[in-house]
Amino acid sequence: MVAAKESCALCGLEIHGSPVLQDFAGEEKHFCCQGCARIYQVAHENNMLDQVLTQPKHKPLKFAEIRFKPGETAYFSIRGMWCAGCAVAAEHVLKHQEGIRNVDVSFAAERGRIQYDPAVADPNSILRSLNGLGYRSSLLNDASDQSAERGREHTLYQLLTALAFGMQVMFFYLELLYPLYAAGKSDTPDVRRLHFIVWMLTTPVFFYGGYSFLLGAWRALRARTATMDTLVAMGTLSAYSYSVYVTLSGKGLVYFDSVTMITTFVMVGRYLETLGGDAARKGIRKLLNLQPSEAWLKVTGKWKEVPSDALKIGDMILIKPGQRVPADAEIQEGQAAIDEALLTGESTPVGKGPGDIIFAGTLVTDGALTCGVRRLTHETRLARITQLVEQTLAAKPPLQRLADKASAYFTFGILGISILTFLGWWGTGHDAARSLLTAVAVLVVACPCALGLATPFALTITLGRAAESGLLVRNPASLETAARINCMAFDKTGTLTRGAIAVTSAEANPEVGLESGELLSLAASVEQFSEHPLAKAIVAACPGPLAPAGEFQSLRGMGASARVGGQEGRRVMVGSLRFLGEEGSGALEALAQARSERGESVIWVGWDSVKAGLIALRDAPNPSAKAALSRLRQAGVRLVMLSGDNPRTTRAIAAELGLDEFEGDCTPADKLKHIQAWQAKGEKVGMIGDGVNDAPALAQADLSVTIVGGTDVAGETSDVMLMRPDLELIPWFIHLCQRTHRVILQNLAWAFAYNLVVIPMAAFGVISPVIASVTMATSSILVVGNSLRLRIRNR
Amino acid sequence: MDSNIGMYSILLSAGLLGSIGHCMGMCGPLVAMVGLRIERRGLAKIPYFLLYHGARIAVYCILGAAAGGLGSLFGFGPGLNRIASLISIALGTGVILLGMGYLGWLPLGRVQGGGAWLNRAMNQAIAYKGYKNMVLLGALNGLLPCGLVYSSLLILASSGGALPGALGMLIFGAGTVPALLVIGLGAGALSAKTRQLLAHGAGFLIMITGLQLCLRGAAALGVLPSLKLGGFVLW
Repeated sequence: MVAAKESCALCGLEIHGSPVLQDFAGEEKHFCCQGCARIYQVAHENNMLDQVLTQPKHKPLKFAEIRFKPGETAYFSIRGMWCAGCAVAAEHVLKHQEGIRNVDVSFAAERGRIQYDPAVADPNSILRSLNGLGYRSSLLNDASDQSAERGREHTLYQLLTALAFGMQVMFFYLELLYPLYAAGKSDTPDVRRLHFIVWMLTTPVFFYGGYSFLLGAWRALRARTATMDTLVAMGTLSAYSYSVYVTLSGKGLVYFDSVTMITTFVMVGRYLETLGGDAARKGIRKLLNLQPSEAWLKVTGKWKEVPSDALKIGDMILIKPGQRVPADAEIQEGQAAIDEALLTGESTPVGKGPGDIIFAGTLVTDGALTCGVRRLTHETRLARITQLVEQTLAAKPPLQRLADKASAYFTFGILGISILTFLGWWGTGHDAARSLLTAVAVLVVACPCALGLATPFALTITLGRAAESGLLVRNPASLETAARINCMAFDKTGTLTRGAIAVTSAEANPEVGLESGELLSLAASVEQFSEHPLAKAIVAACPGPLAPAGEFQSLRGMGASARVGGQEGRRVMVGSLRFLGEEGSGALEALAQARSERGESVIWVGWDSVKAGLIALRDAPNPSAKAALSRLRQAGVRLVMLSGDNPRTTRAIAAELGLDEFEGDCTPADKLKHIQAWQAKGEKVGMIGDGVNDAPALAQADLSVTIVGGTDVAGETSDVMLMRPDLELIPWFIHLCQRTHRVILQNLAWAFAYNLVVIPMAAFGVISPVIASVTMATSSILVVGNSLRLRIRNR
Repeated sequence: MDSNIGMYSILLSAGLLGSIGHCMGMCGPLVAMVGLRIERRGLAKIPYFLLYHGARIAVYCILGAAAGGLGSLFGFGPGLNRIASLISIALGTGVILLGMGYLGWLPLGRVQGGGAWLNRAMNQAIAYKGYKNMVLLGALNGLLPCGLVYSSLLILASSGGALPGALGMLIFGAGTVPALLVIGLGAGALSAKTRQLLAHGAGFLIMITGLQLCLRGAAALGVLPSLKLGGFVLW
């Protein structure tokens, strides 16, 4: 016999009685019944086990210290919100606490941010006050997704209760009460007994099924504001109370059907919104779930599986093919192609070997690797990026704040209209019940949630999609600005160009007779001792092995020389024409001149007074530049290149990339002035450049973009960061923001139009409370669904 | 029809709760496997799933019709005769026992059964793709041994005819579809604790219906007074 609470390997439920035993690849598994055992077997035989098991496998990681300015801003996750109104109520509660300067709570992202005075306020007690109202909030240090699961289940329980009991109620109504009422028999003892039964069945629906909006209305009340929950709660409360009164007094009709239907439909809407929220957060969640929670650590000579959090710097870990890297590490042994897609958006795997760094979250496709841990799990690149994304999610862009304010006023307006409706109907002679029902219909049909829902999902989805594609947004307001950019300024070196000098050609002097390959090798053999970027480029371009050389000498600004080929070899000189000792004219010199005009650097190679040939080098353009620029131009954006490099090289690159407007010799102050001038003309200017050198210009620009690539993201301050030097991300991003902007406007337009049409209809009694709840739920689903469209391909 | 309303609504609730509690864990992986085989992405899989569930429910209906038809032979329907009353009590007791085994109150193992042919058939069916495959797998799923289904069939034996029996299983099956669609689309499952609770809930519902069957039989025999409410027969 087995211990009491063993669970089935397939369905996870308790095994009653003796378990069914079956052997799989040497492991004995226990099941609750033959059926489960069989299904497990079929899954096992078809290699689909991993994909179909319903037990979650990875436990989410915890992040330690959040690195922000200590004591001034705190980020937290907050769950238990059922609509945007709950987020607003939470903000109100927080704002009225001592020492709080600023509060943002995002409903869709389930994140919040407070800016506070550390001398007066303490984040932990602040969050406790939130939790007292039934929210579940915690500082981002302890973030875990378990809470989200519980929230979702809670909503599901409520929905199921509403459905289960609601169906019973409706059966009673359909089969018995409606016919009886229609036949005028509403006063018989049988009917009165039925009223009691229906009341009993409705009570769980009202108190538990409708718990979320009852609690939400309470929170709004405490926060001295009104939200959609207030409206629904008042609607159902009125109908319920009136019906209880009728049941007890024995006279009249009961409207428990309205109560249950309203509750059910609103909860269906809420549940679908929760699912929508999950879909919206999918992109972000992908990032969060990349870091595996276990790693293979070498302990006393053997490999042991330990939690990734326990890894220390210097630990040796083993990563098998098909596994994700648990922490930033340096490869000691082994070679593999690493899929870094989810970190940089780069779809082709990168080959890495001993000495290379691999990053947490990336996938090792082939080949096992032994590595030394270089960064702890909460300090990895992935962790920093995730931190950044979390922080962005917590901030609320201006448009959203406006919508939330409008939503609150709107809700108060609806309450007023509802009261007027009741008085209007009652005053004109209709009976109390009818007047009440009409007023309830007004309360229920109004959808301020469409206002509150218009932006949050759209923004969360866009942020997620950007992050998935290798584009990190630090400033959510930039989503709105990007849609309106009409001028884009580009830095040259490192942005439009690769930022790395490379050899373009080697021209040998026909009179001397060397091959171009030999020429390169000769030059490289000399330059192998130099640290100059031009020297390194020549060495990199060398086709064969370097010849041994000695007696290296270099003259700054002129060139270098060394004796190549042992003691008897000749002294080869590599450098400018003056360095070689002779000016002159001829075919080679003309070629040099032509190359120079094209912005290339020219290095001469020779010995004694012989000019053996020249090598031309330049900084090649970013391969994605041309396509990106043409797409931007097609979108009607004015393109300008601002470079600190000399005008000749600038012109050359501009010509190659097809740019008409360019400026060379720009100091950071010059760039700033240009941007200011354009902005003065009314243009919205975006700037992409180097975070360090172009800082003033980037700060001035309406949209600032930097390429971070391999460096740490923590220090960057631009609005948007590209994880890889793919300039095509910029037009892609602008297009995505334009789509988002359109979706948000559509949502807002719908919110207004819908309410404008249905509220009068309800006030005039055209819509019954039940129909009202259906239309209202449909309206908020439509808004969420419209926002979810943003997950479709962006081109 | 009147007297069966309570039964139908309970079956719907049992289907909903039971599917999330029990079916999600057991048939869920099966449905998920089927889902993986479908060559469409995301929501486009739904038509295939609907075929699958349609076939499954069709099998249930056939079984339900058989149960109801068999039951009617013994005189079930509005107004029970002697034999029917006794059988009603027996059925009710059986359902209660099944329910208790389900809840773990009695050390009855889960419903066993299903020969190895089922495995072979499933393996073969999973290999194909397309609509035919869906129908086949759905039907096989319908034949899988399941405590919930058997309890429901027992209950429907007292429904008074093949038609109410089939209708009852249709309603039950419909209740199971949402949860399995969710799993099939890969939209995630609930934690084992939740499912355990919901499965218990379904077990309770089934037991209550079993109790009602017993009381029905007893009332018809005159042992207990019958309880009606304006045309609605409680027992």
